[in-house]
Amino acid sequence: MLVLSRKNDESIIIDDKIEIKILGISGDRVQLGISAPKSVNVVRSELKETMDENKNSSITVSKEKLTDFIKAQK
Amino acid sequence: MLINTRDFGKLDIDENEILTFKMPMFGYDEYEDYIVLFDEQVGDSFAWLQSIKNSALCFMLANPKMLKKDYAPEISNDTLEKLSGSFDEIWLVAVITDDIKDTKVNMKSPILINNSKHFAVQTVLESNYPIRYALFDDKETD
Repeated sequence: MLVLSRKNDESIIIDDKIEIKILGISGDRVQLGISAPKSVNVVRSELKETMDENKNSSITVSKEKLTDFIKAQK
Repeated sequence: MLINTRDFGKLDIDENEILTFKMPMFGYDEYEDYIVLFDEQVGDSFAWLQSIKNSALCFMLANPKMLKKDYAPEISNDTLEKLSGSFDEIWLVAVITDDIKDTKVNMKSPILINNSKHFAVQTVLESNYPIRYALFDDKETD
């Protein structure tokens, strides 16, 4: 992983198209401004992970297996 | 009304039981209406969140009462507004594989339901909760 140090109001540019700017730092929070073409999808990483987990939840075990498991627990 | 479901065949449901997601399931923006289904033998530990529009789309939900610790996350005002002020049920999206003991629940992005208004949301909590929590080990895995 590339590690860069940036101060408030400084930015980085990715591939000449995407700019990520530090807009503010307070406590343990950093506010980022992202300028990117519309075709670039920007999501918070935990949101992407939640999307993945939703997808995984929808591809799931059979009802019979779950029923058997619950019966075995009782 | 009659709907087709993924795991329960054709069901005659009460339209009043349909929940409208004011903040849709992440990654599934085009589906707003769902019904929560239960299996008699499974009880209320797990539920099925079945899409009304797409019979093949169904998520598994786990009841947070199964967690060892109380789960009472702080909900943002924005989220509460979407639910018309309050909620009376909270569920965790569950990933259940063939080895059911390995079930993971998403504590970071719960489903909240306001039953009287028939509204629901999937929200992302501000607080630091795990996205893949091993339900039956009751410990974080990654």
